[in-house]
Amino acid sequence: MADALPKSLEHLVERLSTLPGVGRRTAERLAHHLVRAPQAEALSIADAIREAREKIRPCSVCRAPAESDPCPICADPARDPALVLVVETARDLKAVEDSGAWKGRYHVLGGRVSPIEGVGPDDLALDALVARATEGVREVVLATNPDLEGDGTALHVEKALAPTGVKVSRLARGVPAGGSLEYLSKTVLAEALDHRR
Amino acid sequence: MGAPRGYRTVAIVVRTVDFAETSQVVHLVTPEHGLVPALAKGARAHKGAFQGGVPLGVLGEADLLPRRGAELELLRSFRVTDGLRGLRDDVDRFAAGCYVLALLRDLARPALGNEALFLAGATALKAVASAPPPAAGTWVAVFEARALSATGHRPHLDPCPVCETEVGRDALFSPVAGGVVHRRCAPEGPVRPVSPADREVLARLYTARLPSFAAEPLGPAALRAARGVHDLFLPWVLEREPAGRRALA
Repeated sequence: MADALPKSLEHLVERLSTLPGVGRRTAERLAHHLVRAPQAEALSIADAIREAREKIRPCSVCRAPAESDPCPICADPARDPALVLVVETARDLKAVEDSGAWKGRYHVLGGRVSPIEGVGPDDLALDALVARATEGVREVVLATNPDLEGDGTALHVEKALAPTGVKVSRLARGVPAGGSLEYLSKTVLAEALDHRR
Repeated sequence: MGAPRGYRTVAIVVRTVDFAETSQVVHLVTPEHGLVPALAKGARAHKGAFQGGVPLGVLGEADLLPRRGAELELLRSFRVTDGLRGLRDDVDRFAAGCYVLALLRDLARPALGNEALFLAGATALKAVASAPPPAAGTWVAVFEARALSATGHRPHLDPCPVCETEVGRDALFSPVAGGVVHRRCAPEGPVRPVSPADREVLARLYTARLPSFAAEPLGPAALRAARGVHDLFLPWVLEREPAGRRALA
């Protein structure tokens, strides 16, 4: 039986399907689009991938991906270096940064503790955070996601920071602004009551 | 042929993977349908039936619709009935809870209901989440025993499964033989010495009533014995190292 896809197209599908959230069918759709699109457009995607891979490095201070070292946030004298907000990923950093509400700096863990997936605290940038905490940091704010593995990650970060004596806080959680009590889940309401002020 | 019919079931969420912009692929362990992989469309959107996503490590009620020819069923809604919040309060509870979820996922089979396995998982998760953190190890060992029993892997403790005579003092645990054997009867393969006290611990883990473990958790020596045997037996049953076991206290 003849191969269903030409070899190079099959290779592209196989490569695309390694991306997070991309299954075989989506990868096929993307691959067919790429070979149908004007050559310049398709190759510009390849160029963008190459350029990003060559230029982006983790900031040596906060581990966020950046083209300069230190990154623009760590190099900004207007940001308070004594306040460090810990996030799981650079996407979380962007979400907080987009809010415009944080004037301190960041620390990107590069993932979350997930015993189920075989990721332990040693796989995250915890040592670098502990080292930072001993260098004039006043408060570390944990902004891990409010779910089982995010909270588990926060527990491990707190444990690692305990010997430094630095103040550790967590993001508030509970009833969202603009929400209606009637439609909230039991879990969210229970947490809101636990963390009332 | 009619369209597949939807159904509602209690479920434990043992895995979640973000999919596309706002969806999730979730793995549920259910009493009557075993392991159910399902797609929760738009689950991570702020509005909708899922209120921001299906959380890992909770008990709830799922509304599912099988889809003809598709690997994933459609999860139409999920209501958390027990958020097991205690799993998030302590590092040991967190590790124990994650391990129970991982082992549950590994032992559950798609489309093969196993009420005893579901109950063992739900009981262990509730106990780990609510018991004092030092008791987490006891509930993990109890879960391992009950889950192995529920999936047909309960080890023979006495008599020796090879010669069928009473096991004396000089005994070994042999995964190949499926339990405790005389040293002379042990087949080739990994083994571990088990004392009469160790065998008592195992007998209690596999047969005692669950409330007795709340009243009297396993001591350090009993935990070591249980862990030693299950360290040997579980990789044999699963044909690989159980996920999350190394993170246990």
